Amino acid sequence: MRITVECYGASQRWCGAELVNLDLGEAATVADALAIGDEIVAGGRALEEGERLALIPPVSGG
Amino acid sequence: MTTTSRLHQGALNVAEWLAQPMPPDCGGLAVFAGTVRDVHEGRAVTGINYHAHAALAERRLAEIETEAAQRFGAQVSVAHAVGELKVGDASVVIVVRSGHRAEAFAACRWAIDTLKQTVPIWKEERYADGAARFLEGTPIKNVKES
Repeated sequence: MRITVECYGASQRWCGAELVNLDLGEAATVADALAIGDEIVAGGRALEEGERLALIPPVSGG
Repeated sequence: MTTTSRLHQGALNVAEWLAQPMPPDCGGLAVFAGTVRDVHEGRAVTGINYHAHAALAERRLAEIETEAAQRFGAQVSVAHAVGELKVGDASVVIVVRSGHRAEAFAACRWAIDTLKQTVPIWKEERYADGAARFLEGTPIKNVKES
């Protein structure tokens, strides 16, 4: 499957782009501090075709 | 919970957040505003570019208002800026209206401390020498954990 990863904060610099497309095998899951839509998702959550996955590096608002 | 946007493009105008009339049963109004400082760890700062995951940040800011209301019995409004801000600009505003001062101060302190740990916003500081960098942050938590 192909999904899109949204990169925020310093992760934009690590990845070199705001959006990164990933081609993954079937039954791929979410691994780390990641969000889909407006929620943080747990590591075991199954991914679906076409989803956008956001990397959430340590936050520094205020 | 309203659908009003709590993320604002550009600097916040603190006075706008005080315009709402006080509920008649409230006797305490506490306000915290965070502004861009001209120095960080000895480096001269010219501004901060605030980045956000908009959908999750809006949700988390709303959750902070709801949770603060439940914990402290206060009416709480929070707003945060995104985009380029210069020194002196307000990046965050917390307004608390409550019956008495004790819960107003407590809710205001809790709300800003919680915001810093739970809302997906990132500071990219700009320096006088032309450099820029994202600040080190804290791993994101849930509002209920704070």
